[in-house]
Amino acid sequence: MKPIVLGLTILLAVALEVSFMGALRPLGVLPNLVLVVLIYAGLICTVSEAVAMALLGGLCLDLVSGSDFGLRMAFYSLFVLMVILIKRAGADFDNIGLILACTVGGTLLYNLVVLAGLAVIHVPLSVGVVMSVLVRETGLNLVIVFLTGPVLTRLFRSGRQLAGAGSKLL
Amino acid sequence: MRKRSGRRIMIMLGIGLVLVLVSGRGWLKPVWDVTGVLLSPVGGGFSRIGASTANLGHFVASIKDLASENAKLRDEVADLRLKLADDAELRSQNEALRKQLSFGEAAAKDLIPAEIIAYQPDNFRSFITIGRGRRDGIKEGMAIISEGSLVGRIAEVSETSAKALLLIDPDFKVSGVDQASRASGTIRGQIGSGLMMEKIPQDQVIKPGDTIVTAGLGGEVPKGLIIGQVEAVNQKDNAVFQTALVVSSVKFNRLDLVFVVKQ
Repeated sequence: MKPIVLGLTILLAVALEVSFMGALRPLGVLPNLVLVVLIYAGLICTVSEAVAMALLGGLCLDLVSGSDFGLRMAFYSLFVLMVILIKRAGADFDNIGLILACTVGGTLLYNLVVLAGLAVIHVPLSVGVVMSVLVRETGLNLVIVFLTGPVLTRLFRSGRQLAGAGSKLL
Repeated sequence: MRKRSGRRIMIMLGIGLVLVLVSGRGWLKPVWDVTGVLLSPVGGGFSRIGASTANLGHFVASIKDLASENAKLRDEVADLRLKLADDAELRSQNEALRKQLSFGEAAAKDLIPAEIIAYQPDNFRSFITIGRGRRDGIKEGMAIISEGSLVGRIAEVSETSAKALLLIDPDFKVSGVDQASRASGTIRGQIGSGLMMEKIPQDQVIKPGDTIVTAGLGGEVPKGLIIGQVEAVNQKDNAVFQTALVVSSVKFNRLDLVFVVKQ
């Protein structure tokens, strides 16, 4: 039951990001819904579950993307492992400051990786435009944390409780 | 317990690495075909909702400018009507001359409408996925237009969907020509939705307001498709070439329906 819920959650996040958010483009940028979902997954779910979600989400995004196949799968897997390391260092998933910091850091890192791909094909980059996009995307991702945080926390925590109850029964 | 979890993670990461390696050989195409079949209805639905929401927001934000925009559009329509009349006259003269010189007929453009079902999942590259593929006659290299202007080119095709590289992507290049002066150059996309026309010879005249169309060189994109209008020209006497900033009339962040040019 729980793997299905987690799988559907990440697939829904991918579908909303590439289609609904892509068409809507608030403030002219695409917010990163998958990043926010994976931050919560990294902090609340088990290690295997979080990494599996990162791989599945990254693979789906790579299939839809027209460039750099494998970049999102690699990035999200490594990013979720970093979040898990932060959790193992004693961080609590109820700490909103931590979640916001992960969101800001994750947004910057993801865009840095995408820009590195552009630098490889010798594309000139305008610093002003890049900074403007980063600021807007970071702001939107933080808004998404506030809007979806309670839902994701409840969803992943209830899944964890159900899994625990299920294993006790067995 | 931790060792088992660590092994599971290594296995998953290994699978991920294998997927990246096999994708380079095109072995993931069947997976993409299936993704396209599943994504089309879902993605199309979500895209339509997103586009409607965006249009509503845009409408509310632009209410105060409606009156002045209305007056400006009325003037533009009147101007276009005159140009259309001239165009009809020129077209019939062109056909008569072609007949006299035994030229073949100008190839008619067959347009295939396509809904956008997915967008590039980042803010610096510009690709779209459309809900038409090989079974609809789509091939790599075909041009895509919207609102009468060039929007991009098909980059990859699967059975039921296709990915298109947009004009504003920094990796997009097409040869362009000034409709008035016939000055030629290369149009390149820029991050931030602008277009740059480069490598314009110094002895060729190009002015702000001129319309740039595709030159049709290389056979990829048909000639005569509108790219945009010149906004500014950068001409330096000590430079080998001129450059010009070109603005497209297409609202790339409001695309939801495009047409594939099938010639």
